[in-house]
Amino acid sequence: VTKPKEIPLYEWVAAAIGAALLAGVLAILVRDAVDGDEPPRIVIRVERVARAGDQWRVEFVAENQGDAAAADVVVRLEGAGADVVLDYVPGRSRRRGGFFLHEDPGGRPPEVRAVGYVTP
Amino acid sequence: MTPRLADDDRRFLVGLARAFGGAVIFALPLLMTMEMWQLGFTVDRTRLVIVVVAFFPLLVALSRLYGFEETASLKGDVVDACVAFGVSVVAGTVVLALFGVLHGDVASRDLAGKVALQTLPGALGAVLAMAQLRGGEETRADDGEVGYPGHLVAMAAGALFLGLNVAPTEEIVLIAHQMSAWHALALAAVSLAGAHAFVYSLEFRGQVEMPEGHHPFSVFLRYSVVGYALALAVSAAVLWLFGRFDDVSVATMARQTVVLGFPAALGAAAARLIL
Repeated sequence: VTKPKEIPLYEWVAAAIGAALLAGVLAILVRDAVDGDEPPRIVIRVERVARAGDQWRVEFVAENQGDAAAADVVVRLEGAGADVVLDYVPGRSRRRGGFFLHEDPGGRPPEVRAVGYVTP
Repeated sequence: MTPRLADDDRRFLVGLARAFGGAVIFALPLLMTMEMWQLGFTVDRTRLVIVVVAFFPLLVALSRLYGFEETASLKGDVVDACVAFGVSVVAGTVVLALFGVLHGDVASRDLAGKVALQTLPGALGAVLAMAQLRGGEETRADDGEVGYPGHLVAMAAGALFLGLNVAPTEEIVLIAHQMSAWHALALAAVSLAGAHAFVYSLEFRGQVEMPEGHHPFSVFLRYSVVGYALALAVSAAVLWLFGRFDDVSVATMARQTVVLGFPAALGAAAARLIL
């Protein structure tokens, strides 16, 4: 029987770092798996209304406060008949978008809502 | 001109031509991916610079490990890595121009982004193709002198190559969203077991023998677990570069990383066999 070659310390260090990294990812996934899986709940917040050339830009943030991801989220600017579609809003995550208005919305903050989604 | 010089010149030109071939072959899947063109203008410039800079030592290490002994000086490897980058930039620009992707209406900033993204796989291909030509006898890798760091470099390169090829596609995001966390956990287990089997039990050419006298679990831990962790790290870096981690939850990041980690892990395993 040949004597096994001594394994250098740095190989064990690499193994430890690798195992720790893998354990970290798995821990996140396990926590995600046992945590709730509330369906998508999209909340829209208008961040800013600003002049953009001869138009006005309405910037919004769509936050999915549920756990499940939503696809093709339709966001509507009330009164203007304008829709924007966000391809994905993952659970507990945010996406940004905007509308262009031809008229000054004045002091009245524009009303932006999410009106629908599909599951990916 | 002495005959010897002419010989060197010829050798250099052949090497350069090979580098172009390697760059085009490795970069072609990405050059023909629409998402990659779009990423040209959306990709964060700071991140792009960080990734390209971090990528450079990998190129040098690849050239060092898989080049030939005769010309093996670190300086030569750095030069080769630089040449590989240059070749990759030219090859990517020419091919994108042929596809009509680069034209007068493309802003120079966008053009630079598109080309820079493509240099990563192209440079990998170029450096490997050049390494093939240098010298003529055995590479250090063939001598079995590569050792543990060499395996890590090979795995990182393999993970980057295969991971990069699928990373820009919309499907990575879609898959991550349509699977549950349990699916992701199962996929992680399959990736790790698959990568291990690839190297040690499927009897591919170049199969690695279990080192004698080492406990199989120790080999699993030092090679397969580390290789998978490398694949995950490379996947996370690529996803971060492509902006897939912006404003998403940690759980979503982990899922996407595991999804991309699947091809990356197999790429890492395959690279250990091939390189």
